[in-house]
Amino acid sequence: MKRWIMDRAGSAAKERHASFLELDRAALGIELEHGVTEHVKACARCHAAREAIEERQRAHRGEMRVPEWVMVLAGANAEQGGAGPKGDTRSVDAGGWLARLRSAQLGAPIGVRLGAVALGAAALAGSWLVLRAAVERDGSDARTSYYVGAKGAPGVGVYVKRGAHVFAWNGTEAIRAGDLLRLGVAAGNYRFIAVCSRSREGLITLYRGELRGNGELPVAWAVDDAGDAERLIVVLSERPLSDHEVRAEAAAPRGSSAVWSRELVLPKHAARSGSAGAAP
Amino acid sequence: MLGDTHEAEDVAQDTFIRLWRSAVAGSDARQVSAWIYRTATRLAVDHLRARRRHSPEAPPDGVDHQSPESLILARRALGRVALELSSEELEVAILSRLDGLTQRELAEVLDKSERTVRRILARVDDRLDELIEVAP
Repeated sequence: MKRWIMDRAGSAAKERHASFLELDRAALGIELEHGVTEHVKACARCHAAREAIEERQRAHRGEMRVPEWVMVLAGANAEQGGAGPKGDTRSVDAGGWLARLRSAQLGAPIGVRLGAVALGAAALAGSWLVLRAAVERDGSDARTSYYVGAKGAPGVGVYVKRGAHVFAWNGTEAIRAGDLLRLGVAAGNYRFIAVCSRSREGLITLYRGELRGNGELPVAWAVDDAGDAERLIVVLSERPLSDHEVRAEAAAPRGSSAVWSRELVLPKHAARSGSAGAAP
Repeated sequence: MLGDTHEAEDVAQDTFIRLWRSAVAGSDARQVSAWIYRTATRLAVDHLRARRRHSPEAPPDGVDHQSPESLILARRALGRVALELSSEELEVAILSRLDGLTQRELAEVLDKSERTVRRILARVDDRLDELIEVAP
């Protein structure tokens, strides 16, 4: 695998796409600024994003209900002669502001967007806790197993980026040449991480460093088409390990409480026979 | 942005309570949508900063349609420096770097001139240059 260094966080996109604001407006049928409409139609990424928003709207349309607290507020405003728009009543079907809000689905884009991002994160975090794909090393044989880990116990999740799509590896799905892999680690009390790749050439240390933030490594690796699987060995430790120590642990885990290691075997789609650098 | 469903729901609810109470409710849809962005972002910034005061951990990341990998990094970076930026700077950083708003859109949403937005963006860039450690 070759190392793929991320762009600087938040660096300007090489290509300007429609903002979320414009995509939400497009989905609401609000007139967009000159040129944006054409871009959203022509750009596959923006078009897909808009369709995703509209799909969520359709999915939630039947569920759109005005919450109780809105009705309470509506009543309070009406009684106070309130801050709400003129003519507002408790009735959602009165054709007032609340009805327009509902019909315009203004609640869906921002609410769904925030919720979707949060749910996506929760789903990813959950996948670390509940479904961890791991390889229990038993002598020279490796077998894939799933287990439910205790909270606080170390675990490793793999994010796969395929094109514009990012998903959590389910432990069995074959990866493809060109995929980008990133690890997310629930490290428990361990502070340092090293990642090795095992190949026919031997062990290669891909990354060593201190874990920070939410445990996602700041690097990703691009999958090539060599071999039938990517074998990654994750070593967590309480103190920084030398490269020699990392390789020794990866080669033969000592079972020490000061070091935790796990080997992940990600099967690959079979490369085309005789091809080099074949795309999926 | 927040990485927490319940907090996101709180922000959404608070946003619409404020929308309900505000005078913007009867305005045109463009104005209302800009108002919602501004208010939701400010409320999220408040949550983010309050959370950062209590926990050194960065917020969990989400996945989005625009360059997910860079957004993940941007979220992590912003989460790390949330307390180091002013609320205004953090708000601009989120809207421009996560939501992808142009300077013109920022000016519309924030109800500021484009010149002011450019000045804030430049300040945010300088601050992030100081604060964000480039990934190894």
